[in-house]
Amino acid sequence: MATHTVATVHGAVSTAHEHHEHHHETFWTKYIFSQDHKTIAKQFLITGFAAGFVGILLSALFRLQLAFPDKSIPFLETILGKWAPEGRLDPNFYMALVTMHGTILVFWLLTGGLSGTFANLLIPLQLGARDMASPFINMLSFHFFFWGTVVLFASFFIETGPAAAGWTVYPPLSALPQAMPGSGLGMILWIIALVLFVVGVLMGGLNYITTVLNMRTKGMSPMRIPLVVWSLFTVAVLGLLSFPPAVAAFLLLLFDHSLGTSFYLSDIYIAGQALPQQGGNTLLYLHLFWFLGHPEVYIVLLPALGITSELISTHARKPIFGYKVMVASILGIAFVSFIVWAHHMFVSGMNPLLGSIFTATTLLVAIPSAMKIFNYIFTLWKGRIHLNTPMLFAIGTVSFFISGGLTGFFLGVSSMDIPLHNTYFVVGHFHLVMGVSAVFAMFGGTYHWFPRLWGRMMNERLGYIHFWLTFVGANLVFFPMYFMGMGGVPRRYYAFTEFDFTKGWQDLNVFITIAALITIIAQLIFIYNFFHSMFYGKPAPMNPWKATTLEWSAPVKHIHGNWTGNLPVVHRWPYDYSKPGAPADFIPQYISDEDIARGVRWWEEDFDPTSVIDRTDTPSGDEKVPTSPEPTPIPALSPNQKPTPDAGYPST
Amino acid sequence: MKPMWGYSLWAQIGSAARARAEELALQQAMEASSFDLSSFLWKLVWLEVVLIVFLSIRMVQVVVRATGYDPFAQWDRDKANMRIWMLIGLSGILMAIWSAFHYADLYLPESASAHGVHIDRLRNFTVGFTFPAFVLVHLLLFYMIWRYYNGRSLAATYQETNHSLEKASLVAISIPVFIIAGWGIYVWNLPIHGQSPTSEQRTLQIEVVAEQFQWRVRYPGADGKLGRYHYKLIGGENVLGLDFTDPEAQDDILPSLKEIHLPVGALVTIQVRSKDVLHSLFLPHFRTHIYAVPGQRNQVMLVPTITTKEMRKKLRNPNFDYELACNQLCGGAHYNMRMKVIVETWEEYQKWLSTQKPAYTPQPSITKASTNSKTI
Repeated sequence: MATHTVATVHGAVSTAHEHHEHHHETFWTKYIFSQDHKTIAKQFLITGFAAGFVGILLSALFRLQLAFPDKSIPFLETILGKWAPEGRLDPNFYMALVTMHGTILVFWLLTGGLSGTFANLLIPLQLGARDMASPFINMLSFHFFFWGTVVLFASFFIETGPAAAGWTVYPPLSALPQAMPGSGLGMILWIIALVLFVVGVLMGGLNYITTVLNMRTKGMSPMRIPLVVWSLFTVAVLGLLSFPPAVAAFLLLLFDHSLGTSFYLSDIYIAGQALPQQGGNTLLYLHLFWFLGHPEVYIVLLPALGITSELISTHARKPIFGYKVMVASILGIAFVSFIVWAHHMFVSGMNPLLGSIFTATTLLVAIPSAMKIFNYIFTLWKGRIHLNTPMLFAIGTVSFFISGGLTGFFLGVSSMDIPLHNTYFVVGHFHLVMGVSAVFAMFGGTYHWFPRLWGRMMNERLGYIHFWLTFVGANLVFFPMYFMGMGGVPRRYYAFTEFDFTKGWQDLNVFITIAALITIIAQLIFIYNFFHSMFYGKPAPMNPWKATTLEWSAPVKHIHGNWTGNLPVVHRWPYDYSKPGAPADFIPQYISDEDIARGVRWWEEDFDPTSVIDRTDTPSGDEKVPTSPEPTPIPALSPNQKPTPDAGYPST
Repeated sequence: MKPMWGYSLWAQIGSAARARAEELALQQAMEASSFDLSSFLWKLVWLEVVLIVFLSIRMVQVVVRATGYDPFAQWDRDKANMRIWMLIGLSGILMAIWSAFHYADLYLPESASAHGVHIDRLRNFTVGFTFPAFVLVHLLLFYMIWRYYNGRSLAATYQETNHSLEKASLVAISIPVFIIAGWGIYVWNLPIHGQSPTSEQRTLQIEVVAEQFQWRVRYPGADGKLGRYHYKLIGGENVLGLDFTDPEAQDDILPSLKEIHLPVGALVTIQVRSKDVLHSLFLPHFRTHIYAVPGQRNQVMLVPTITTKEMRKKLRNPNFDYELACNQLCGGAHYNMRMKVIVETWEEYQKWLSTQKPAYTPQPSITKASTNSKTI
């Protein structure tokens, strides 16, 4: 159908399209200063993955140290220079590696990379909007994120090295340049990077919230929003409420660091002199930091679980089990996440009464989290599970979430936390439950939405190899850490050689390091697959996974404004998979019952969604119109009849 | 160390870059003067390995493209992945169970403190819930993959929700949550913070002070009380900043060796403070853990129940020692803040204490410092 006639009928909505035709794009406006949400999603994805890969390379360095504390590895001196004299890591640089690893992976990969990519890509496309509410602020959000990255990585190249006080940067260690070299200029750069990052996140978050609230297409009522958008929206609210206190905490830390104030410092005698600061308290920083720090865990996790919901439902060809329970548990987790922060401080010397209160609130989180796990498993039940790469990663996320989540029972209870606090039990727990689990969802989402981003499919076989190596490797790396935690082995130790109770774990550490190196090497497969498929992958059809959500109704080639003509109108919830009576095992959200009766064949390869979306006589929203008098070419199946296996989802 | 203030970012980056350039020039000059044949050959070997791997992948690709023969074309994707799930999933669960027992020897031995017994009991109960739950939920997941993969299942059943299943899952998770939370709060409030001695029990109050990168311990003198201190008094001999104008401080004992001696059965109160940055007093064998915070005096209580000698006998390890570790990142040598803890009978403890000397040695410099302290 010619778009001009549509434009005259629906003139107001198709201006974006007309604008597109006359718009001349240069390299700068197209790739760098783009205000198009799809391009910004790509920018976030590539920046996030690049930073994340550097982050796991850092872990290779410190894993080598933990496995072979007595060996000299000359190669390290070649690449690190003075940080590894005679092939041995400098202990201060070891701490810097650990700190940067944590900062990069938690903030850059799993907050900026994960939310930034999928919120930018999916919120407008799945809700049927032309773009974000404010494309300009959206562009700024990426640029702040990017310059934050630059500042953070610049700190590797200064004389005193990057920040080294752990990713939580507890003062006074982080506030006193005398305490360790990393607390000098490196710490200032860390704070600047984090402030830039938070500004970026907040700009993005405001946009996500506004877009979800105001720019949903006709018929997209709250209970028809896909779960991934529900979780991205909730995460944006979480970020908006929890990041500002963290910025306040970081700025006060900067004042203590450079201006001689005493918000967090008191009674300190260091490097042969007593400091003048009195009256501050470190626990104040801990409270402020963890008031961000705990919601941050869910800022990482909820989008991952949202993506998993989409993938499991789509590839099991079955509606997500208990949609309303899933929405309620997203909101429940988000609410409870604000009242659990002090479980990171059970042994910090805060009032013991708080220990009891925060134990109770912390364990409450287990209830919505477990409901989500059960619902994933019930979604697979009686489904038709296509074990392709996105689905493998989604199931991997569920598996890691189980393995990591259950040990939260130990750490969330104040009394059991006493011997486990800051041991490898904690390291194993959070890597499994929010680290690997969220990374797997991000991989799964990338494999799933790659055709939407670049119009090409990723290589499936390389995807299987990547998945199995990473799944096995990550389990072998992090599961044994629970056993080390039962032995009381403290985290952030440069070597386990100094204590009798940690010496025995040396063999296991060698094992973990080998597993980690294999896992890291396996990521090269992904990187190759990613960039190779971007240019030479199999061209993707419009709806490669036969999914129901709106992003698969927009043209494969990206255009500004997403849809050529009208915006799609939504007639159903996003999980109409294998509906009895339907002629295919999925019904897209923009297909109305009248369209089905009219005989629209949406499951066929060459189906053009615009033929439905741009129909001028289609009913808008849910209003009933008389069905077409013509007899339907394909009769709808009777309610008891099952759809034919080969209608819809590709069988191979 | 040079002070950081006044250094601009660019000066730092510039100086780092200059230093690196000089380093590289020096390295090059050294390498040019002595050509190392063996390292050159090694580089060649590595290059060859990379080339062989790359070329063989390329050759396979070329052959596949030229002949159109694809050995994996006949593979059933879903069946193959389902089988790998079964293989890896089930063997993974078996491995997890096996290694949990295999590493049991390295776990912390039974608790050597009275309150630790309660913590261990709760921990064992929680393991008894979470480990089977881990196995069962995974088995359920693997069953779904095995039973409903595309191949065995050719059509999905439309099912939006099932209220009784949702209710059952809600109950199934709520029961352990409430049991463990309730029990945990009970144990937390029992003996850990505010215990008071029984009538027969001896009490002891000691102070442990953390600094980069060592621990110091202070015992009270005959009065059984620890004296005042102020951080501005730290200096010279007075490493803990004791205020020697306070008579209670004058008899306080600073042991000469880096050891903590604790009498078995006594109610020990440990006051913990830090001189510089955050540290953490971690006594894994006693299930005792508290941060050392500068400017704040934290306190923790424990009753040691097993002497070092008994524990050595129990573990059949004549070299066993209780250890105090730092468990909050405090700088480069954080991993090396060890102190030996010795639990002994009251008589042995008294004997040891009598050999230690009070910290107070009248010296003009210290008296002068302490008079200053009044003006602070």
